[in-house]
Amino acid sequence: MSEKKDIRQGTLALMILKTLEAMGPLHAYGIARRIEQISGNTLAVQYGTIYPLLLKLEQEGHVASDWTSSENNRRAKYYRITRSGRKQLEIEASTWQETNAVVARFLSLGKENA
Amino acid sequence: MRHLRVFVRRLTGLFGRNRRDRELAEEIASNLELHIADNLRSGMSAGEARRQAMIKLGGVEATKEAYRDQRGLPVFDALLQDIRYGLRGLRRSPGFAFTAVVTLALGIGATTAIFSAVYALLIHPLPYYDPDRLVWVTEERSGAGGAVAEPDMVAWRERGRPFESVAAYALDEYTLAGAGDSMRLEGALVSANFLSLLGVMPQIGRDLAPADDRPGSAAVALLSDALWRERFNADPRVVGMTLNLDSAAYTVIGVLPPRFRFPEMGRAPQVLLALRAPGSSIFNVQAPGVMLQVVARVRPQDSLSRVQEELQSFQEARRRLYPARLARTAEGRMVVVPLQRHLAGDSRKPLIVLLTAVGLVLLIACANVANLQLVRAAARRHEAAVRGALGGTRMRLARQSLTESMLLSGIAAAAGLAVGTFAIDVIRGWRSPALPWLASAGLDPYVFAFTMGITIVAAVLFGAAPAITGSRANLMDAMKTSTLSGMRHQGPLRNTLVAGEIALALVLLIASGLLVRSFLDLMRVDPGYDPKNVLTASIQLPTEEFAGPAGVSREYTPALAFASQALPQLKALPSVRYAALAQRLPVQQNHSSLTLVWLGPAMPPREAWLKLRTPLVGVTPDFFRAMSTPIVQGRTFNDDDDARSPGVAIVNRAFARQFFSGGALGKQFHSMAAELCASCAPGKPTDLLVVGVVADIHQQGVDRPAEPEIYVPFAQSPRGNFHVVLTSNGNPGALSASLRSTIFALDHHAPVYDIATLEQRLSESLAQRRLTMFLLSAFATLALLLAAVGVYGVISYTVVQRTQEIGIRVAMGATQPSVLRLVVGQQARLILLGSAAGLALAFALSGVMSSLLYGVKARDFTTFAVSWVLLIMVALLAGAAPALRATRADPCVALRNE
Repeated sequence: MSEKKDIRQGTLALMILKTLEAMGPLHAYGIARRIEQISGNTLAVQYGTIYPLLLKLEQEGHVASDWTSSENNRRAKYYRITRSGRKQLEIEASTWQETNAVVARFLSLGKENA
Repeated sequence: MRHLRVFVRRLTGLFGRNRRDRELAEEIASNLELHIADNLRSGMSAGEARRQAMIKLGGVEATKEAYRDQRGLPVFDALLQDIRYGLRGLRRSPGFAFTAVVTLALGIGATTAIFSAVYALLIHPLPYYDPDRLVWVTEERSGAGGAVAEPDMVAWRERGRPFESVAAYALDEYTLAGAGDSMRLEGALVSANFLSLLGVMPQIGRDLAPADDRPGSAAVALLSDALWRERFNADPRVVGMTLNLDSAAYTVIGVLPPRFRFPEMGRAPQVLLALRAPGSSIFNVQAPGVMLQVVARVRPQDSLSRVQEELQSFQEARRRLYPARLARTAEGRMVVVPLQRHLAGDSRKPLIVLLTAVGLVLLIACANVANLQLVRAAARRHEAAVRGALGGTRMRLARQSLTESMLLSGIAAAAGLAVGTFAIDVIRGWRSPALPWLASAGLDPYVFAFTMGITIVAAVLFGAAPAITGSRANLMDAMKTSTLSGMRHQGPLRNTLVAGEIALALVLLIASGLLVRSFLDLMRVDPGYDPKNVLTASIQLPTEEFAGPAGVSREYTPALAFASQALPQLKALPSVRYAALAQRLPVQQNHSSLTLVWLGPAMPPREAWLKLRTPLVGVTPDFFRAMSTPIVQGRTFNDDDDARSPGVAIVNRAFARQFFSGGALGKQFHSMAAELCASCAPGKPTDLLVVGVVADIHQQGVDRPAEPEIYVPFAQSPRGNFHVVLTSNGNPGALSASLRSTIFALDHHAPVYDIATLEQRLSESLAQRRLTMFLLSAFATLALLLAAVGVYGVISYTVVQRTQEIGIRVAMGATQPSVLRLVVGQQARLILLGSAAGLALAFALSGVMSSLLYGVKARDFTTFAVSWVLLIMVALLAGAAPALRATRADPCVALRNE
């Protein structure tokens, strides 16, 4: 457990949106599970932390939710991405990539000098 | 846009919390089931599947808390929670809540009421243009009341210094005749610039013009709004109509605005007439001088003291140029006071004392609440520590504590508003012509906000201090020690607060004690008459019957005829024992005049006149019997003392002392007093024989000394304006209707006015003293009560705090008395310290009180001693219950307490 990495909230929100965009409507457990799987089990997601985050995204209008029956006829709350959620995902993804590129360039600075 | 939406959603998230909580629980549960199902599928045992799922989920409660914070507005949510919690806490300790609320409410309420009254009288700007620059000017002479001679006023006006402008007025009374009953009016002669100097415009018609002010110009009048409505049905065509005042015709030129306030305390003249004085700065020795009251406007850059100095030196130089006959011996001192202060009159000093008193009460209330908060905070230290241990942040705990203080203050403020409204009603209910400003006192919202602010700051300050130290409390310490033995370090602060309360309460107690003693002394003063069952009124005979240049003899006939007709008829009224006429009666406006009295053969020089001027009162024979004024020596007047008999006089004891060093009976003095007697002629000095000496009547009120007076038979010195005195067997008030109708039947042009019983008048003359005494005593009682609450709180807290220690002592063999000594010892130290400070403070402040006292010294030993003993007794009593509780401490219980 200890070698698994914690993730920041903003990043987690981005991941949730991306997951919903890629996988379609999902319940909270499904989302958490998916994120873990995609990260190759390197990220430790406390499933509990995802609920306040989903609520926040819902308040912001990026996701919407419905109670529906799941695979084995169990009632569950399903979240899906909204149009504004997609837009937000686009913006945040590009911001993330830009930041990434800049940070990467900085980190490569030392190597060139060496 | 997005933020707004989020905010609205979160705001709605504040409500329906139960439903939303349920929904979250359901969501988590359903997801948990899914997770468990997955785990089962991957081959775990049922128990392991659930365990792993739970681990993965993390703390459910923390999740729910985070979820709730996200759902609503955490700050707001916490506030609601704090308020709920605070209310629950207050409900749980009703004693604390009740005491704090009552203390604060009384403090806020009483302070607001008095501040409002003070504001109305002393601070609220006068309804004039730029009122701060208005001053009232007078010349203070020993003996005579302040007034300014007309030529002096004109001289200041002509010079343009030290005032920007100067106006004058003189109050008078007039009989208004015409349609309807004749009516006695209050009126004032005013200079033409009087209204414009004040910045007041008539609501209809025009202001006085300089042309109206010259002697001999057409007589014009301005009506007050009240008279206009009452007598003329608010008819605007009144302008241009003719008014019959004292048999002279005046043309109405305008009506004053409804809210016009005449710049004289308690006076509301119904007509303003042009002064029509000579308007010259040179004294005319032949013409009688006109004495005036002066209002002036100072220039913005001039200070009051500078104006006064300049005026004084100008007057001193000017007096040297007075005609020799007018050169005054007693040089008057010029006094310039702000108009506002002049209008506050005698009420200013008592109000300032009351204001100080109520400020002290507020201070005590604040100290009390602070103390209660401190005790409470100490008691809750344990709770704070536990909450800290469970994850409550220091901010959160402090906020909780603050919310509770605010809640308390809020409730107290509402109650305080009620108390204040009630107190204002009580004060206003005093409704007295002697204190006209009372009517204008109202609960001032700014004042209320101000006092509330002070108390809330106090409550919060003292609520917050323990909250902060409380939240900083070392968790381990607080948990380790018992609930109450911690926080000992707050002892000194608490003790200081209570000692301070005791000191302030003692100061108030002493002040009210002094006033009560003064009042009791006043009640014991023999006024020189018995006000019981006496009805008095004023009558003005129509002046037209006196008219005519050679009217000297004609002037007296109507008055004499009236007296001889009216008195038998009045006396014949049912239940009337005595009926008399008098030119002067105690505690009311007098119709008497001053006369010069001397003993030697020659008239004394002018320099000595001031001391020799003596009030002269014409009375009918039954006057002294009607007033129950004792005849000390000699006889009273009888019907034979008339125009054909020798001039006689009755003098009071003060006169006998001053002029004859006691033995006045049978002596003679010279005066111009009598006009009709065997040997006298109007305007010529006569010898009067003293036929009697009567007790001193305190004419200006029982709190003023009686002055020398001469009584002469009404028949030898008749006047058209006098009082009627009726003494009845029963309720004198019932006589007023028959008095009116009797006089009306005799002469329907003679207005009867100002009817009241002598008892009412006497009581009114003491209204201000009584009100001050009543309020100050109320405040002192309040202060004493609050201090007692403070002592009780601290002692009972200490007792609870030391329960364990006392238990151990008892277990070790301490007797009840020794335990009592222990507790009372602490209490006694507190009380002695506090009361010593109080005595010192009262001693230092005694100068403030001296002008309000009668008969007692401001540092009266008895009052100080009695107040001190009373305070100590009450304070000891307040601590007695908890002290006794301590002696009954059961060691087992006490030790188990830990």
